Amino acid sequence: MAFNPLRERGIPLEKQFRNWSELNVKPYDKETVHPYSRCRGIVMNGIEVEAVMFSHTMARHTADPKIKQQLALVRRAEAQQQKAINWLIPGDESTLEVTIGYEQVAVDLTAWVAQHEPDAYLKQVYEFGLLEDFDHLYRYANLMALIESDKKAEKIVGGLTEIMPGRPTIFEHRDPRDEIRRPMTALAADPQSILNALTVMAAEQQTMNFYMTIGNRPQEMLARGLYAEIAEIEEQHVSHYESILDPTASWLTNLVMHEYNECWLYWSFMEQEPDKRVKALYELHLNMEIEHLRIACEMMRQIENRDPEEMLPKALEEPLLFQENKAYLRKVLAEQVDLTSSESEFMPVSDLPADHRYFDYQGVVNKGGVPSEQVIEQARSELGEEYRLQTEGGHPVPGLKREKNRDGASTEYANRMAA
Amino acid sequence: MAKRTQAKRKTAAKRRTTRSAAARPAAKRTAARKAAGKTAARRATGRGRGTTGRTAARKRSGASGAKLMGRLAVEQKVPVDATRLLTQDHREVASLFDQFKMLEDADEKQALALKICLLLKVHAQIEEELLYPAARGMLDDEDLVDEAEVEHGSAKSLIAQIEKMAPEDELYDAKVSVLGEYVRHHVREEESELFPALRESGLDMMELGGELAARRVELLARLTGKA
Repeated sequence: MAFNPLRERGIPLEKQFRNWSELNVKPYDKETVHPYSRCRGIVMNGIEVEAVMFSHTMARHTADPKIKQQLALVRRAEAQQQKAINWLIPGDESTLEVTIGYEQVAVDLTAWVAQHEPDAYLKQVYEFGLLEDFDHLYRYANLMALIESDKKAEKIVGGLTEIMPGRPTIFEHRDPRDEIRRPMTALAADPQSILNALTVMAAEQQTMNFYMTIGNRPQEMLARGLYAEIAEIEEQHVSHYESILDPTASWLTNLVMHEYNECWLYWSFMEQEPDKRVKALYELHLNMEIEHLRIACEMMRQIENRDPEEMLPKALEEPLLFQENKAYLRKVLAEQVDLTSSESEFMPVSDLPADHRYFDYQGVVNKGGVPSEQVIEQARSELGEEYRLQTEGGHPVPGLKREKNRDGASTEYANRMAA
Repeated sequence: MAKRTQAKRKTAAKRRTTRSAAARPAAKRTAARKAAGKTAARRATGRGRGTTGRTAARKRSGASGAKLMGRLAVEQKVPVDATRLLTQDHREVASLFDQFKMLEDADEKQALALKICLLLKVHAQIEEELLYPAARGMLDDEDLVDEAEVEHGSAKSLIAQIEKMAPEDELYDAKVSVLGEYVRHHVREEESELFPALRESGLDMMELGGELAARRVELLARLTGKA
């Protein structure tokens, strides 16, 4: 099953450009699309957006006009890939439906990565973020139950991902300085750690871009408020994930790793995709990425006089898989829901001193009503009880069970904030 | 024409003899720098252009703010090919000469002329300090470098005159215009002869490009007082 993109032949760059009708792909059918097929498309769109924006930023740090031209050529092909992937989403899928898809990505993508992360600290970084995105899914699903009641969140996620509270969004708002993690060093890091970080960072960044752009489309003030609040957490998550990357890696090292990562993901998703048409698209893009990688490696050899093969793995062994992570999520929830962070460390919220800046920030942004709480209160009052999808039994955290089943249990967060 | 070339060769040969002691270490230095550059790049594994032997020596002798700034500014960028960097410089100054022709206001003319002089001085200095010694170490025929250095001499004397003049002075516009002609000629020769010869010589253009870029930032900072 091993795959080495350096040993494959891709499509020559001059043959990669497509015409408008080829880019304007036929969208999937939202009634029949596999939930994880939707997820894979959302991931690859985020990956291509990152490829384009990274290349633009690199060009802004490049004086050499020939190198700029080379970047521009590959970047145009990446920009076309982004269109072909993102145009798979049909026009009749509402913004909120797409949003549920984005949060399913954040949950099941991060869960796979956390379980395949060789470094213990980085694994903690992913599990920390995982519980926060998991909560967003629950908040948006309740918004859907309120404002698009003809649609069902469980149908969008296909029952593959549970929908219930994670680390409550209200408690996720931390001082920005406490989002900066310890960076890995490119020299010491396992190549899988670099691929994991690039992937999750790009996905969170796209989620941030999406919410900050479409969050003002609903007319309901509650919906607009919820998007604004969660968009801020996604920005926080981009800080969280980008800070684990090696900040001393050169532009060309980064370029090579970006292309290598794209090869890994298209290879992974091509293998799993049940929709033949989308599978063919992933195969086409993989063959394009193999050429982008070859070009980036050649640039590194010529410009930096370094052999990229020294830093790349001999082959890709394991594909990234979209699959159910229900048991794993329940375990992480039970063990880590009360964690917070201070500087680059994680600790139970009960360990924070009373004068920690966390409480100051909470006091500022949560003063005057919190949309992620209001959406649940409104769902309870209008629908009788809030929306949940618990396929595997009651919530693993007693304090986060439905109100009627709570038996007075609470969370450390709730206790701490009440104190 | 044949006579002129012969005469030039003779002078060049003479200069080579008198300077051979200095020229040889320059060649050695280039080789050493290349080797040092490669090791540094390997060692840095992704930390941009490594600290070369030359910059390391400069650093040891006490890096000033401007030097440090130059080095840091360049290490954060994608490495640049030496001849492409210098070609960009040529294009930039050519566009400034074009702009000068369109100006009428005396203050604006003087500001632009001084800017041209500044850029040309920095450009000439980085070529003389870094490019030409490296070229002498790598090229069998040094005539191209000799010619370039002579051309720099005439441009510099014009620059010095322009810097002292006021735009109302007689011949101010003419001097700027002649400087433009000098530069155009110099650019044509370098880009059509010296640069292609250097690219073929096996000189590490990326390594040299990094040094040129760093020295340029440093000189600009010193000359403009913005260190």
